[in-house]
Amino acid sequence: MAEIFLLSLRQLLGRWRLIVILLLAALPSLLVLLIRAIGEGEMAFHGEFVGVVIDAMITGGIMPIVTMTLATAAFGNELEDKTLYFLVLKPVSRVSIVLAKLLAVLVVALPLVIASGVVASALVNAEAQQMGILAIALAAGVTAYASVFTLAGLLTPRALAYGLVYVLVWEGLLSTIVSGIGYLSVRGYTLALLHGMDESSFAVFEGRVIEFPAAIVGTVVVIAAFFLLALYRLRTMDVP
Amino acid sequence: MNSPNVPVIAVKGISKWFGSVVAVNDVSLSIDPGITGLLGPNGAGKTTLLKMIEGLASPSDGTVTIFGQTPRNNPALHRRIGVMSEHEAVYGFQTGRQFVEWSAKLHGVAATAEATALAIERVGLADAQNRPLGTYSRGMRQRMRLAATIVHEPEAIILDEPLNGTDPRQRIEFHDLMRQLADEGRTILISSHILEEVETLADRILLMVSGKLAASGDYRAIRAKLDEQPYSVRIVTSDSRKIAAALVELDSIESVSIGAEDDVIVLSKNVAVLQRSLPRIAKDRGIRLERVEPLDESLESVFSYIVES
Amino acid sequence: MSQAQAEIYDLGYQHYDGPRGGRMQAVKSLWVNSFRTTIGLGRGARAKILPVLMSLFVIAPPAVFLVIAAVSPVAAQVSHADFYTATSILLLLFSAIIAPELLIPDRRNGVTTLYLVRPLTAFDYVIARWSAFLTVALLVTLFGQVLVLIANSLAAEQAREFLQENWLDIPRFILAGVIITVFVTTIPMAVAAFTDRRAYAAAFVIAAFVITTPMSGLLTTEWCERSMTFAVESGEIVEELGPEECRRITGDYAKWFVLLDVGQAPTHLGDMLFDDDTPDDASILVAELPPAVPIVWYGLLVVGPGALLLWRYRSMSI
Repeated sequence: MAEIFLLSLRQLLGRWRLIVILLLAALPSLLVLLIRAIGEGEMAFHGEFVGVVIDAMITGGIMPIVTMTLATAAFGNELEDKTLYFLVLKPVSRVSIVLAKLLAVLVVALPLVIASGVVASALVNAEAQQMGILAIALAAGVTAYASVFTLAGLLTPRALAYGLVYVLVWEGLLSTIVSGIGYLSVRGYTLALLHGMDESSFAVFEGRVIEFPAAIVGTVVVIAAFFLLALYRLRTMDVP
Repeated sequence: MNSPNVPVIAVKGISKWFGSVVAVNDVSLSIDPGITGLLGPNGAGKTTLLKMIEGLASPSDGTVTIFGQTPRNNPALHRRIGVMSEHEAVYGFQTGRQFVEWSAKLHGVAATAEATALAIERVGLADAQNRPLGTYSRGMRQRMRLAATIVHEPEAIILDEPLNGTDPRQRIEFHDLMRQLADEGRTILISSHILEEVETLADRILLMVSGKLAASGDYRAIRAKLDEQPYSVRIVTSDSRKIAAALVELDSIESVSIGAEDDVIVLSKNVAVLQRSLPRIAKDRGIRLERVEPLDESLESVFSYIVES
Repeated sequence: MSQAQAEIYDLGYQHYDGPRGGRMQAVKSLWVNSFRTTIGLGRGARAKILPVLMSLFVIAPPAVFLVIAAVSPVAAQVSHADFYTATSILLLLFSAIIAPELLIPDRRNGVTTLYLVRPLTAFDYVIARWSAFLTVALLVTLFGQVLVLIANSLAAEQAREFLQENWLDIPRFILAGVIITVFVTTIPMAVAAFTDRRAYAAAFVIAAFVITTPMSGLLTTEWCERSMTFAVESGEIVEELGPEECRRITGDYAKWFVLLDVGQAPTHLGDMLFDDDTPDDASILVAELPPAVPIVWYGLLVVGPGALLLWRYRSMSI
């Protein structure tokens, strides 16, 4: 399994792709620094910062886009290049293959997305506990997106396109109109986890998020179910 | 290893369809140690058949076993099998040696470095082994893929069009390597659409046409058998009974029957005689011929295509 | 030395004796092919899902307005400018996903060369691809605007009167449509010239636009405060609230930071075309800038990527 993991890591870490992703992840911190330099008034870890930087920028943009790009590529590139048979014709269990791919995605995405949020928070003097909570919620969100879009990469070559439609239209536009979408949205889970763990710091999400226990169950179910579906898909699909 | 009466690869009544297209149609075969060539024109279903044997695709019907086990979702079995697919894609960033070594590790080879060196030596690419695969020529890439296929000393080796992109000299070297591997007691299945590639190499040939297994055995023997094979021809005329009666009198005709749509089905041993006599008979008796068509997939033409190309 | 004998036989293949089209003919064929590719014609059902879905997204909101206007006697008017603001993100998503389809597969399959050995130059090739996508995007957008126009005239008390008064909106929304579609066509195509995977091109464009919106939003936030004064009146402390004072978080720079929301660059020009009764925050800030600024900014965002796209194809070794 280590061999597949290392190979997958190498596939995900194209030089240009990594530079672009790093830049994207650095944007929240750069923004905070810019406001510090020329802004009037201090930014703090509440209100505008939570609503704009944590919610709109990170959970609504950086987290899904970075994770989806990597996760759909995990199997998507193997299918597009027709190299998947190299993996499935080795005496390695299907579970190991899916796990190796998912881990490779997480090893790249988790540090980037968590650092993106935590560093920006540190710059506005967030408390250690607030940063810890943020890291936990982002880790949950990244893992859920990774699980969903690893499967998507196995299902269709247009997985990232459908993913972008899902994030922008379903989680972005429709969730502001139809309230129940929070139950079927990874971004909704992430915000509800933040709010559930620290209601005062994340008070701006009040009334917009689903119940804390529902978010925990939702996250766990999504991660497990999509992992199993990916496994099932790999077992039943005809490999090109 | 294997009990002598169980074939290494056993395919029973296997079919594969995609929607309404039948790619492989009720194929049964068994393959023993030695070199077997799977021949057929492009689109005959060779690759689909090989994929089902390798376990990459599920048969729509029928069963496959290798060493008595089903290959689908059976990772442990792949320790004993080496597969080289039709796709020439590789991970371009790996060097040749990294690629072969990676395969060896995943196949659970104990002495990885030695096995890798030996496999690369066997395909004669030791000089280029430290260059990235992305910089290889087509022939070199094919040989390095072959090295990765045999690095774990598999007992059964399945190669789909392995000679694409190789030059005549590499072909000779390939033949020598295959012979060596076969002499070591391995079972080798090589597909090709060019007879010349495998005629001197394969102990036995399987001929596939339009998804069906059309013939098997030594290719010269297949050629000889073809002449004895009766052909069935369908004839539509203005008077089926009259032409049937006339045709029965010809020597080379085995049987004549009237079909459901009032057409005549003729089974003939000598198609040339039928070709010459039919118009004459029709003209003499004032029968109008509306349609004359062969019912068999034209094995004859397929075979000559393969032999001559 | 004896002359070696050789002869070339006519194998009897049929020759093409018909007329041969020139460069314009080639551009036209490529244009037609690009147009069909964009909407998924001549390809499998799966290739049609996204174009159909995306067109529906763009057309659905005005279609809903139209239905409301048709059945309800008192329906609200929807401005043409608001339609562009609302659909620009969907239009962008449409372009980011589908426009790379016109350039990347050709390069991946190595057939760009086959086009360029025809009487086509790299310039012709890019222009044909670009203009075909532009046409599709423009048709979808203008269709939406026509629906808005019909909805508005139905919602008005006198449809004929409404049209007589507002007919100028038609050239306005056509011009605004050209402005926005040129923008959403050029940028994804330029990005597509630099990557060999369609998915990455789409993700890059979407990320750039989705992230800059909240960034610009934060940099132009208004912070409001009320000063509080304390006075002692007859022994009691009385709090007195001063008037609310609002200022932008980045002060005078705020109006420049509106431009950071690159996805709205064409809508700023749209705002200049339409008289907007209820301008949003960003429009107010942009209005503070000299009018040349948003125009130049838009120009840079179109000409820059456009030049990169052409340069890339001219200098590509194929």
